[in-house]
Amino acid sequence: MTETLAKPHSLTKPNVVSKESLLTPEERIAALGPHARRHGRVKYDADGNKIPFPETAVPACPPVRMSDLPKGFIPKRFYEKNLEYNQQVASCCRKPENHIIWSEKSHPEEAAPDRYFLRCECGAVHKIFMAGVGTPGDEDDPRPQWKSDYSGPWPKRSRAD
Amino acid sequence: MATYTKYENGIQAMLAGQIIAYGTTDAWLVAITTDAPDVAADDELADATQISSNNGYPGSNDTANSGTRSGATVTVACADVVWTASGGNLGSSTTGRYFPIYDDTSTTDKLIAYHDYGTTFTVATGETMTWNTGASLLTAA
Repeated sequence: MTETLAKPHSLTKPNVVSKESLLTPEERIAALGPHARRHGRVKYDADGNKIPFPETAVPACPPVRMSDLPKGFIPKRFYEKNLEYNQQVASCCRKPENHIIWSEKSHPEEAAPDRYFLRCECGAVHKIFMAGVGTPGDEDDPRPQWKSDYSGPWPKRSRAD
Repeated sequence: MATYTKYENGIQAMLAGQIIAYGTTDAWLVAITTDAPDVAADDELADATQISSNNGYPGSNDTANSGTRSGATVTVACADVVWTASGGNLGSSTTGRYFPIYDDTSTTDKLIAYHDYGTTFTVATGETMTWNTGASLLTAA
């Protein structure tokens, strides 16, 4: 009969593990940052070209006429520099009160919309991408949100689409 | 906020003094690119693929960045950047998607971070794209 004896502590070999190796693959990716958590590391094809990340944008607020929203609800920074003061766009585009506005999120996890679209009667669509690090809704980082009973098709994001 | 994603080499460059965030010493520019950023490998603007420099896209735009300190936190604010397409799609592109920010003052245009629009986009003639960072592009503490 074989008797199993416990080894003395001095003879045991410690099993050293790093903190990182205790993480799951998903946790290791998440530790790289928010974008990596969403998409993982960029991958390359056989020719060494970067493979695009999957598209992630989702609809947020439905299209409504600017004039149907309360005055001041859409902050001036959404249309002042890019439209009203912009000599390079058509005269109709410089009158945002006639535009249709809607919003999207660049990713479903966004706390508030960060993609806004202003569509002029002439068909031109003006895009605003909110990329700051403020708190959505703050005076310096406005992200207006609204609801409506609109059930039609979602507008095109450019007249070239 | 759109996801602010740092380039790993950009952090090193900032702490090595190649990218200056405080004050207005260095000019930070924002570009429009088409290929997926590799945050582990990309280091300079040349590592990304920009849309063409035409039809209202000059090749990147000054953000008028300015870094200020309050207590132990430095905040970098930027002005809105507006691109207006004329004579064709902005940058002759239908596949713009990423907005990398880089230090134009650094020797090799070091990449700092980027924003992902979430889909590709087209800016047709007479249309505009506005990159708006609100109160701040980034804070460091």
